[in-house]
Amino acid sequence: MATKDNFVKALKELTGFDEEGAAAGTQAAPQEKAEETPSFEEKLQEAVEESVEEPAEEPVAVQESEVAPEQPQPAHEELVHTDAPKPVNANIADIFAEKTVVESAQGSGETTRITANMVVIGDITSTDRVDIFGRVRGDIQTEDDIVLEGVVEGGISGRNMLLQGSALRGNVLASGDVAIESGSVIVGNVQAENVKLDGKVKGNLFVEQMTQLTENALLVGDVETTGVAASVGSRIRGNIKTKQANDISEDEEFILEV
Amino acid sequence: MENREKNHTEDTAEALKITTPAHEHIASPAPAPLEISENEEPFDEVGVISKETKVMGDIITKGHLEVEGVVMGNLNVQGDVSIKGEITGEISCRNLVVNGGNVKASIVARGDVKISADAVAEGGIKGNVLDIAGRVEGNVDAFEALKVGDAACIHGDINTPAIAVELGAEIQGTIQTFKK
Repeated sequence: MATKDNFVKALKELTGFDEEGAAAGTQAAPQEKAEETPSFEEKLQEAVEESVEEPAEEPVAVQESEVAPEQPQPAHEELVHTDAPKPVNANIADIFAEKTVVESAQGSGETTRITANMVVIGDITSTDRVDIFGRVRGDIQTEDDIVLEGVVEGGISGRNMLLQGSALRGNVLASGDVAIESGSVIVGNVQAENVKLDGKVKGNLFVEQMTQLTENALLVGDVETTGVAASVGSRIRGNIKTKQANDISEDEEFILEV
Repeated sequence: MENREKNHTEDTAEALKITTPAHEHIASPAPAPLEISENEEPFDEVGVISKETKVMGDIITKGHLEVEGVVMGNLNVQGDVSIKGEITGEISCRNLVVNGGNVKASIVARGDVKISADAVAEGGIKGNVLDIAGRVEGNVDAFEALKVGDAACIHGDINTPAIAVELGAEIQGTIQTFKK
C-alpha cells in the first residue's frame, strides 16, 4: 500500500496534478514554464536575426507552445539547408531557422527551368538545380536542389527540395531537406534528412532526422524518423515510429512493480 | 466537416489536375497537351535546359526555350528557340538560333533560322529568312531569303526566292530560286 501511495504521488508530481501539495505544486509548474520560455524565445530571436538578411521573408510567429513556430518562407533562389546531423535534443526551431544559401557544387552552376507553360513528356537527368513551374510527365533526377511549383507525374530525386503549390505523384528521394508548403500535394513516399510538411502527403515519410508538421499539414501514412514535431492543426493518420524505438524490450521498459 | 474538407481538396485537385485519392487506386488524368497556336504571341517566359541536363522526351512550351544541354526528343515551341547543346528529334518553333552545338533534327520554323559557324545541323531546315554560317546536311527551304556564310557547308537541295552566297561557302546540291 505504501508503495502504491508513493508511486501515485510520484506520478502526480510528475504530471503537476499534485493535490496535496497543490499550492506549492501549481505555483512551481508555471514558474518553471515562465523561466523556460524566455530562453526559448531568446534562441528564436537569434535565429530570426540571422535570417533577417534574406529577402522575401515573412515574420516569424512565435507560438506559446513549445512546438517550433512558423518558419519564414525562403525565396526561390535560396533554399533551406541544415547543417550536418544535429543532436536529437537540438531545438527544433534552430534546425529550421538556420539558413545557408547553398551554391550548387556540381554542374555548371545554372538552373534548368521548366516554365509555367511548358510540358516535358520524358525524363530529366541533371546535375544542376531544377525549377519546375510547368508540367513534367516523367522522372526528375538531379544532384542539386529542386524547386517544384508545377505538376510532376513521376518521381523526383535530388538534394534539397521545396514544393510550393505543386502536385506530385511519385516518390521523393532527397539527400537533403524537403519543405512542402501548404497548397502542395504529394501522393507517394518521401525520404529525406529533414522534412517540413505544411501540405498534404499520402504516403510514408522516411526521415533521417527531424520531421515537422505545421498547422496545414495533412499526412495519411506512416512516419519513420528521429524526432517529430506536430503543430496544432496538423492532421495525421498513420503510425509514428522514432528510430530510438527500434530496439526496445517491452518487458524491460514496462515494469509495473516499482 | 468532412464535406468541407472534400470541397477544398476538390478545388486544389481541379487547379492542379491531379486527384487526391480517397481510395488506394488513384485515378490520374493525363496532363492535357499544350495547344501550340501558330498565330498567337508566345508567352514571355524562357525555359532553360541547362548544360548539365539531359531530357529524354519531348518538350512543348508556349514560351521560349533555351537548350544548353542535351535533348533527345522533339521540341514544339510557340516562341523562339536557342540551341547551344545537342538535340535529336524534330523542332517546330518560331525563330531558331543555333549557336554552336549539334542539331540532329528536322527544323520547321515559322520565323527565321540562324545557324552559327560552329554549329552542325542534320535534317532539313524550313524557315522564312535563313542565315546559315555552319554545316547543314539536308534540304534547305527558305520562304523569303537565304544567306550562306563563307564558312558554311550545305549538303542538300536549296529552295529559296532569294539567295546570297559568300565567297568560300561550300554547297553540294541543287539550288532553285523561284519568284515568290
